[in-house]
Amino acid sequence: MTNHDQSNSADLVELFALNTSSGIPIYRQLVDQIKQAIQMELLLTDQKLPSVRQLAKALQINPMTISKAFAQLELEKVLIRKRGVGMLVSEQKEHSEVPTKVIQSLQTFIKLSREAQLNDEAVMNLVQRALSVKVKGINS
Amino acid sequence: MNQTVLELEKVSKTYSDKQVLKSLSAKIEEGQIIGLVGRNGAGKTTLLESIMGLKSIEQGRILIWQQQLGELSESQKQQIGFVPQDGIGFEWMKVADYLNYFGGFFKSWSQNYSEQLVNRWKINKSQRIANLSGGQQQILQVIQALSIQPKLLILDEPVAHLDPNMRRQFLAELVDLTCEFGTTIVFSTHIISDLERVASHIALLENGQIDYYCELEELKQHAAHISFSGQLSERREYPELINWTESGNGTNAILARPAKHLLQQLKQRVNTELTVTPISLEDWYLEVTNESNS
Repeated sequence: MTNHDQSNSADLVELFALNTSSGIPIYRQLVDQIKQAIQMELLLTDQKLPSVRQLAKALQINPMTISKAFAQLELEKVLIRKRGVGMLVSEQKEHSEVPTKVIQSLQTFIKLSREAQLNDEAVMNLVQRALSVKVKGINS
Repeated sequence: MNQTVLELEKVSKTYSDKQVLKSLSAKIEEGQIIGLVGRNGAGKTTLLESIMGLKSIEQGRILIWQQQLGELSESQKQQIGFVPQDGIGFEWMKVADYLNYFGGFFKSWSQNYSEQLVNRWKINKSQRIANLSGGQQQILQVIQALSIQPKLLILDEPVAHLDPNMRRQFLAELVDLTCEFGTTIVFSTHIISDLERVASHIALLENGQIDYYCELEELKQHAAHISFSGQLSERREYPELINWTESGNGTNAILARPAKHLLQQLKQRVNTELTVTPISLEDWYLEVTNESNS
């Protein structure tokens, strides 16, 4: 049992926004959005995803499409199928060395930038400019 | 792995001099939601009514749960829901009486579910059917079919009279039904975009046969407009490509069926870059119904 088991999986449905007219298959969109949510740490290691049924009902899409997305993510080892429990987020190796604090402040930074209506280019510029300036009090 | 729910074996049907179904075969598995499309007069209603035993067929067999309709037990028959295209009838009845009346015929009828649906659709139970709108009458028929909690549900143009909001809600009901009872659903429609979320498969009825029967997500992933410079004489080797045209020094075609390695092979064959532009389901439908293979 992990703490994440308690989280309300109905809330997780809010993470997904599917576009049926984009021409991109819905299962592809789901696969990408689940990966993105994991990268942004909106989904954490061992966290349980909503069931196929819950997702199908909430998103109003065919349950087979959800199963297909889960199968793909399982194949890519992004999710683990645990018998009697459901689909869990597997341990994400590539992000383990980045401290949570850094990710969190990055998320806050992006959120604030969006609120200030800065476009991606402006945000990247800001980051690059900040990296080129030596921060006082930090040895480099 | 999945159980076959509905199987059509070389089904043929002729009206006076017109053969509507020509040795049509198809296999539908449990939990699938099939969107049946095709132009007016293609035989969609004939096909659905034949499945329900309302139309006799001249040749072939229709099997539901591996048995012919006449061999099904009474309780199996009760698990098949059907919504016909033509009107509801019983206009003099009130909604509540109508549902009570039909509920009496079905062991699996859920009064609870029926009432939930009536509420969700905001239909006044004391209203006479004659006073309901066309869309509400259509939905009442759907409610009646859903209330038996069917394992197989067949609907003939169920959304024809529904506005976009009602259509969305109706499609959500179908997803709910499949989730709750594993229901297999076949429904005919002209609104291709309605299939995008809900259907697992698309079946196109053309020239009396199921011309295309594809997994929807696969189809969406592959359907594309393809063009390349130069010509290709061996077109017959690529049955997945249709509607060939030539313009200037180039060749265009539509990739109309999921085909995994086709593009790579074609690229090697024509020895030039391919331009591949995905097309929408709606465009796909227009292309395949205007197929002109030379």
